[in-house]
Amino acid sequence: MVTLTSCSNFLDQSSDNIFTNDQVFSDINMVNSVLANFYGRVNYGPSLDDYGGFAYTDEASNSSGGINYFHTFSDNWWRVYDYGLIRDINQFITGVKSVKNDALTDNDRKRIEGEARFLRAYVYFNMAKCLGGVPIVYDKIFSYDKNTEVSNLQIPRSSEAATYDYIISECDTVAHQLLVNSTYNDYTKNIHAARANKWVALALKARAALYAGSIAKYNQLVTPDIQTKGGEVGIPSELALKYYQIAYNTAKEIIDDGPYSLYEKDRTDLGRNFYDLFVTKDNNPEVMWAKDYIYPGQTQQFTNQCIAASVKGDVDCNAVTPILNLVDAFEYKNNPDGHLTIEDENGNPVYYKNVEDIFNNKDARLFGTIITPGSTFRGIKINYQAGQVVKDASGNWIFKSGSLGSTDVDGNVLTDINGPISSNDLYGNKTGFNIRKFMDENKDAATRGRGSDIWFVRFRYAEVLLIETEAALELNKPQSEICSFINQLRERAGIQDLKQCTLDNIINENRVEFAFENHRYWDLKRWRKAHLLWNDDDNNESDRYYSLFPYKINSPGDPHDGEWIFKKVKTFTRAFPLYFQLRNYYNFIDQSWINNNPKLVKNPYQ
Amino acid sequence: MSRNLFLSLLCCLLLLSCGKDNYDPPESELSGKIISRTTGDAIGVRETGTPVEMQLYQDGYQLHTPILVYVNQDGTFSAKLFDGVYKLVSADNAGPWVNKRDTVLVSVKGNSTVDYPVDPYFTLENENFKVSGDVLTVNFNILQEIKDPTKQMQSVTLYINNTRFVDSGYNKMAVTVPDPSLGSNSLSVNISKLSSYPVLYARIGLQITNIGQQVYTVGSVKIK
Repeated sequence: MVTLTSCSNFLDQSSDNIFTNDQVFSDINMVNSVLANFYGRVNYGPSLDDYGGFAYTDEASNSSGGINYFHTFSDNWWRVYDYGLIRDINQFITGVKSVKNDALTDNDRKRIEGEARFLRAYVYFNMAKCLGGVPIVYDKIFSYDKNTEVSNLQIPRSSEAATYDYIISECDTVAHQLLVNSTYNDYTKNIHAARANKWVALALKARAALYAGSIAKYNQLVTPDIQTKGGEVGIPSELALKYYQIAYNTAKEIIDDGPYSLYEKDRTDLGRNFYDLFVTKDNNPEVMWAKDYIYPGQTQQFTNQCIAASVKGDVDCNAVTPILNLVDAFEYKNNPDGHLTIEDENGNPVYYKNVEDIFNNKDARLFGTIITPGSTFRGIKINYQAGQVVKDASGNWIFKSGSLGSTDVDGNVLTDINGPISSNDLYGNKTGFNIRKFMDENKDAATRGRGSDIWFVRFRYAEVLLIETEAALELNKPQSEICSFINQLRERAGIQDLKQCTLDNIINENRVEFAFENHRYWDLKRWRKAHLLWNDDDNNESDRYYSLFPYKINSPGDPHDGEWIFKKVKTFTRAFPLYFQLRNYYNFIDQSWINNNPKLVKNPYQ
Repeated sequence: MSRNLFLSLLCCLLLLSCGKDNYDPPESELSGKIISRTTGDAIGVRETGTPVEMQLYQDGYQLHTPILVYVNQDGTFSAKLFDGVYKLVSADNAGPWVNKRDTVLVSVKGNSTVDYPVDPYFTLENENFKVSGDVLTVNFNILQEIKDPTKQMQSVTLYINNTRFVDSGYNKMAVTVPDPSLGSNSLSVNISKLSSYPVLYARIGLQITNIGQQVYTVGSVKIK
């Protein structure tokens, strides 16, 4: 006879990869690992992980390889819709508030909640600047069982104004209540500026308020048709001053009470100083929040992919390189018109003794941002030579060029290995410059295997000064006050002070200060300038991509022998100028979201 | 012998699996054009990059994803559909007309036609392109159909391209005249720069303030 005995419960196992709230919030290390996961997930838009994105503003072009036929921005371009992360953060916030044990002090709990709510506000900000008003779920965590009324899960979009209000109020609570005692408010304790502290929350508050103010003002002024009946898109223009005032007050708080200042360690070489700002991770007084990397562990491939050919580590180089349009935007020390002097008034080329002389007296930030012909990187001189200029039998100048790295019969350089060249060459440089900002001087960082641990800067003190400048301008403060902020950046750059500051000054200052920091696209959008500047006009020199081709004169006996002349050339690897349409100011609401939630109102042009 | 058996078994399997795809493709073509409500003429728009979009909706289904239909240079559009009743509507701010987004109910049964009337702010008509030597002379009329102070004529441009697709994004030559006047306009342009192209097409586009898409002459005209 078979007896049935009860089985032991050896099949009952506790999960070893799902943690309960009690387990997570009983150990600060567990909490940190969850927070680290959230910090790693807010990587939106062009960055050192998506350097290809730099090629889609008027900062740089794809260089290596063939022609890019990009013409119009798609309706989901750089669109963010990350409610999965918001739900995860909400569960985390509920956990840190509800789980009671002695492992975490009350200060710990407040700080942890503050960092999580900051990250959540940052997600909402990234959604709002793409889509306008979005559904706000506040602290709710939804669940679904057979009794759930689905229509209660379908949250309609808040208005654009209400969305910015939520971001601003969350940042205010985080800064003034939750993070007020955070150890990381002392930036020397915030290692590599990796964590949010109260000043970072205030910086996001100031940035969001400035965005809301400019959208309110300039949408009405420039693109009044871009709005929806329910306010999901379109901030009422009457609210502009309120938002500018918030931006002004918040930036002032950071300026007056905060510990940050501009990076000015090296006052003898201002270009080198500006470069050092972006690669000095320890005790950096200006960088407030960055996405950090570490070797070994987690690195990025920006240096490896975008480095100049003559100093590459493996085979990759020149993926994305700066265009002449950006170089022309940097002012001269005593001349606000930054266009390089390539020709004289009669259209004749100007001769330069050395290739680097054409950049004399330019804004020092140019040399910290971009590797220009004749400058050095890692102590090595970086040459760019498109070709030679020789005399033909009749005494006329003719331009000769060859393949990358070619020489003439006498062994002189014909076309430098760094180019530039107008061809489909893989790894060839098509613009005549390389990016220097964030470029790692560690030789091994240029290899695929190691990568670079240079951080990507998200918030720094210079932006706070420019936010204050712009808010002061829009609030009609005296010019002496407005200029006092923007001139701090200009002094650091070695260019003349402004006595009168206009919006155009601010637009250009933002362009040259924050190149390759994922600001330009969003700034041009909030000022409603993008469709005017990037107007699909091949003859608009602000729209069409241009390269700088240096040529060396090879004509022994001629007084100009050994000198340089330059050509401004349409960038070969871009077929079309940028085309930003009115419909691109707001991404489309995806049909799949509407299928799940029919309450979502479509955006204009859908 | 075993090879034949294998092949016939394979064929049987394939025939069995065909049972899954039991829908015939749609056969009925719905074609039509965007027309001016007042004049009944077609409206010329940009075709390249499919910027001008119409939407077809059908009731009675769980989801409301529209079928997108793009408008050609000459104002025409078409779609291959199943028979049924559809709602045709222009996308929001789709083109250079008043954004009324009327719904036109269309019953598709076999090949069907439908016109979609709109109120364009301005139209271009009676265009005439004449080439004499190296000079292209263009005469055309600008007609205002809707008076709206926020929608003024910003500029008018002559576009020439080496294919029949001609617009602001695809052209080898673009000559712009700011602040044009209503009524008859004339423009003479030297096209010797384009002599290397064996074939040339021309069109005129009118940019209206606050409107994303230009209004064009209907289609393009071969001038060489």
